[in-house]
Amino acid sequence: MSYINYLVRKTFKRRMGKNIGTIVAITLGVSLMMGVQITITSFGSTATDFFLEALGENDIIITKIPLALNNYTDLFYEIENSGINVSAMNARVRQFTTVYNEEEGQIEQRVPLVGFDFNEDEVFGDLYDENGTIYTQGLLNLLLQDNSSVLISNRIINDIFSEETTQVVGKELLVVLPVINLSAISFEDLFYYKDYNLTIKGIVKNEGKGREGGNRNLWTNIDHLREITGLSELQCTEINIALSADHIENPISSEEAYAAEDILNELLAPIEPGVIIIAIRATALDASEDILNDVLVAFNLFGALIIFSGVLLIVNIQLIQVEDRLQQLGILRAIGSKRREIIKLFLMESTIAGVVGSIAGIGGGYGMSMFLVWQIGKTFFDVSIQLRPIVTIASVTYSLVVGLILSLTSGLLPALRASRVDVIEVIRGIKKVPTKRAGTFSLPLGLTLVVGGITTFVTQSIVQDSYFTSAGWDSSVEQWIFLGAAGAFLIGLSILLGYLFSKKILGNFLGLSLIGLTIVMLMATLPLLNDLAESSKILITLVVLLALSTILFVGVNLRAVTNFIRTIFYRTRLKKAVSLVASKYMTARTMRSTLTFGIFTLVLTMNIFASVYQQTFKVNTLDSVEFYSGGGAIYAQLDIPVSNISGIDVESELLQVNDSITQVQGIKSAIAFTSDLNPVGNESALMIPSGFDLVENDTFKDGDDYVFDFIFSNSIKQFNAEYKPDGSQEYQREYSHKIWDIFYSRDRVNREGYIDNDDGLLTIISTLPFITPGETIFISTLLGWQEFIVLALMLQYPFSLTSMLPKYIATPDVYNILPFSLIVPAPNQYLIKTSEDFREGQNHKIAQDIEYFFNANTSIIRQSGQRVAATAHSVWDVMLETVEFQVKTFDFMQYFVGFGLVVGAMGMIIIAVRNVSERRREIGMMRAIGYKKRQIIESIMLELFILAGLGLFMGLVNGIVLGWAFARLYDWSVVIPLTRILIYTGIMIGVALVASIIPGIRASRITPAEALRYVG
Amino acid sequence: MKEEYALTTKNLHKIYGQGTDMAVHALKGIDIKIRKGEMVAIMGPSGCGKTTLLNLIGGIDLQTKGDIFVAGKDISTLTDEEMTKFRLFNIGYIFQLFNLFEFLSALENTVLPLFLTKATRFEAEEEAKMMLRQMGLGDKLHQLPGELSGGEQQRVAVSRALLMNPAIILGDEPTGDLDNSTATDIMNLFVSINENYKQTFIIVTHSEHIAQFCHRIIRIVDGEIVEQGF
Repeated sequence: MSYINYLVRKTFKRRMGKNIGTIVAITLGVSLMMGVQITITSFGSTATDFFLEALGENDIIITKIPLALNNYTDLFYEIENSGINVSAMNARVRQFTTVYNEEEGQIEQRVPLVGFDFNEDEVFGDLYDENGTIYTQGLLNLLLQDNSSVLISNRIINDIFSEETTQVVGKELLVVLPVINLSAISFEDLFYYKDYNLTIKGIVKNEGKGREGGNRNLWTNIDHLREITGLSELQCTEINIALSADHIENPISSEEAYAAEDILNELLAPIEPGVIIIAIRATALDASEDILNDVLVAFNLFGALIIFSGVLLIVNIQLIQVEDRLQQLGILRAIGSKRREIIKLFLMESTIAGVVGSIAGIGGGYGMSMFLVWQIGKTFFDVSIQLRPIVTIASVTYSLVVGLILSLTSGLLPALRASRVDVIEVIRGIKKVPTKRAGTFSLPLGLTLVVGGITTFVTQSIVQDSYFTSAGWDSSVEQWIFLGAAGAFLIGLSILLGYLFSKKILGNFLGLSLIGLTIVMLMATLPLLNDLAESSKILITLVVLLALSTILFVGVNLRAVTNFIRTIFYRTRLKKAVSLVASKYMTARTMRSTLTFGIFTLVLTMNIFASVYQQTFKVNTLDSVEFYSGGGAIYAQLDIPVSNISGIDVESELLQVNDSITQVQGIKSAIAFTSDLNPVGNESALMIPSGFDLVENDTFKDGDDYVFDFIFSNSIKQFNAEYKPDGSQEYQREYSHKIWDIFYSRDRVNREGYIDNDDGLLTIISTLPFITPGETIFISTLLGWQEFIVLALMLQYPFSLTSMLPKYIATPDVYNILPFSLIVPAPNQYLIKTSEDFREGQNHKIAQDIEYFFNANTSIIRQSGQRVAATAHSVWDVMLETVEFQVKTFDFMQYFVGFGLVVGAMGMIIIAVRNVSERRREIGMMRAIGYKKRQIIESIMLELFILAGLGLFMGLVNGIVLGWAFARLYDWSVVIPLTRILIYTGIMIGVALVASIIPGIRASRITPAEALRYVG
Repeated sequence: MKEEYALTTKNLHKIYGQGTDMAVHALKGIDIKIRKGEMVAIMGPSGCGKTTLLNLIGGIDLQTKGDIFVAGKDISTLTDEEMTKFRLFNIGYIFQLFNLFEFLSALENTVLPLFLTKATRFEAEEEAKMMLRQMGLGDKLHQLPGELSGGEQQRVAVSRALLMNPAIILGDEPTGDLDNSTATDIMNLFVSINENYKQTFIIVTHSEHIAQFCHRIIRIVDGEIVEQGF
């Protein structure tokens, strides 16, 4: 068989131009795989590192928010003798303060002032100066000798100082600290706020692993901070425990960490009432894994989609590679080559192209991921974090292997077909008329799939939740299983129709039924998913299914589509001869044409859907801001409650700040830990900090009138049945007033969702769509963990959507038993109503005036000798910023998918060049008949424009249908992003122009005499 | 008196690869005069320059030296654009192999030249259908070339060549791929068109049998005319 090797050498060299096209296609396909792999790995790894960097080796944190722990040495003793294998422990004092640079009038809120023991075990990390040198124990002792000395993180310097970083050493800072009054006679007097002057002794550039990981901290000696804040020398606010000194060498499993947490809870709860013990590392990693998994599902699905576009390109090129060599294959068969030798010839060529393309693709993929990872840094993390693509051996191997398998399999099937052709027919150029109906094998295959689909459907309905109840549709897994069962059934049925009637009916039925299935699921089953993450998974799956089924349907009917387009040209008497040839070329190579427009359909469906999604979200969210603000155009937040300032009626004073202010209402707020399971004795209970706002009934109600209009959406089962989500704004207000009155009646609600004052639970209100009415929540109170039930979901800006943490609205009976409420006994937030236009008015300026009212040296509050650091925002501005972040996230997804567009464009160029080279003789005939050079170029351009146009049109229709389905989930009106669509239209025109112009010019330069001698 | 002739060539030379070591002098001073309505065969051994001559006459290749007059027009002075237009209205081509676009039906293959003019789709298709019916292909208008016999395929090619009523029809081995009986049928068709419509034919062939259907035979050897056949 040595002549096959000889042939491979010769033909590979001679067909170098064409082989380069194949190699480029494989390179592009593998680049996508590699790029997606590296990007996903880098994102996952960066996000995990982000958490681990902050946590260091810290496994467990013990705290008693907001109170201090007593006698840490006793606690250390108890912990060490508890049976837990402790590697290291520390005690720290942490206070959140507002920092003032009085010299320049700059304020920074919520800066942690951390007091630590310089003898802390080294597993809790080190601090580094601006030169990267560690602050040794000796140096820390020297620098932080007295109570007023601190080190400052370089991350807050720019917020407070105008000077260069290094020039702030020696500067003064003023902080406002909550201080414990040990001589207090009542609980309310336990805390007061005091000013304190600090001197900066050094800069912390890198807080290192375990030292909060990039936080904006002030660092000082623990004993000094105890003195400042009134704690005794054995008190601290937190204890950190490392169960392993090196989690890489000696990892601690989540189970071990949670077991230790349980032991500590049992041990310390009796001696430190209200203590909170969290296996912080395990909890954070589990939570990050959950979040990451959701993000990675989206990434992987988007990634799979663009990889699939690369696969389509490779298959397309391999198909051309075989098609234009049928003549050569026929001759080889005629001179005695065996079928397996022809297959071997092709496989050897495919292997060479696959290896070269895959290796080049690794480079391409790295380049792609460099851009994407840079975008990740910009979009999801701080820009100052230098992210680099992380290349793993696994991703390289995966890309190489998959690239090779793809090039081989996509070459093998056509090669098998070629090896089976009738020699005479191939040599004479006669094409076999394909059989109309599907082969005999299709009967058992079709039946198996139909039975398999029905069996899966029935089994799922019996084993799990029935599909005939709404419970059968409330998870993505159930809907995926249904999709698989319905898909198998429809494919099987289509194959049977193909066997009984024709392959065309097979294609049409399959395409249409899958389109129907997608639309039915979009309309009927998608809204049954309560969870946004679950909905996203199904939505993205349906995006892919819709794109593929429309490609199939249009591909099967390509002849009718091109006939229609040609008729338009005929009707307008335009380019009759050009359109006839262009459209017929397309249908003569249906598979090739379908794969070409298919790539664009797939990518543009994704891109246009992302654009529609983005715009629909943006416009609808912003449109609803005013309604959901309930009239509170400005929102002010203070670092300490102003009621501590005696003699000033802040609400009245604020009304004087600007003539446009018409109403001011104060709100108290606190933080407490919550869990969806009872954490007592339950290791799987996840405790998370949550915000609680106390909204007094008469704060918002003046008699029977509502000063601010809170808007509620869903509520408990008893009221939800009558709730109309698409009701008018007037209806929404009336419904919301009713919910508000029930909330303040303090009726109890049972677990079934009905008012039940005998067996019910006390209610709270959720502001986060993830926490739905009827759910029960355990809250850490002064009385221990207590269970409450969510009465309703409130959609009130700024209470909802502006917080990453779960946030609840509480009545006084609940709020007053939250531990942190003790240090916030008065309003620290204000809702302000103005007479200005919500969007275009002066609210931004009024917000600045309010900040000035609280913060300026000349303000009435400052003159009273008190300091309150306030931030005031126009709700419109805040929402604009929130929405912009979401928009940036969608933009990233579009960059991600955009690489598929690049691949599609490159693929189109390769295919156009190949088309021209294999049509030389036809081009010669056209020239001989009387086609002008311009008309030759036009025919090539028209073909590509139709293909690009089909991709664009189908992408548009699919994208808009999906966008509409998405908008329907939220009762939003779909917004068509005309500018983006124009941009994509421009891109597609550009792609078609670029792809056609060079081959078109080449074709027009072919002399007819030369072309007519060409026989392929 | 050029207009009496459908074709005149004067001192026609064609050198491939001129100025290189591989230069081939394919035509060496060809002088031909073919009257309107004449049916001429050009014969000669392989590589003698028959097809080259036909390509020059049809304006799909450029001569190195000399003049070509087709229907009284000096085509050597035409630009590419003018030549393409001239070819559309004055030259009909029939080739030996791959004569038709395999992806177009018989009707579509035939109608192509008229689609390049201002004729409406309806006018063009009606004319093409009439032509195909005259060729006996009225029931095969929508068949693809692969579904037609060799003779039928050549009839479609003839229909296309005739559709524009050209000054000359050029045939490059038009029966070369056909069996004897079909080849005779095609040649009889040419003769009948020639007689009925006074259509000028120039047919390149190496078959004496085919050449006998023509009024005269021009013989070429090594790029030179050795017999004008008068």
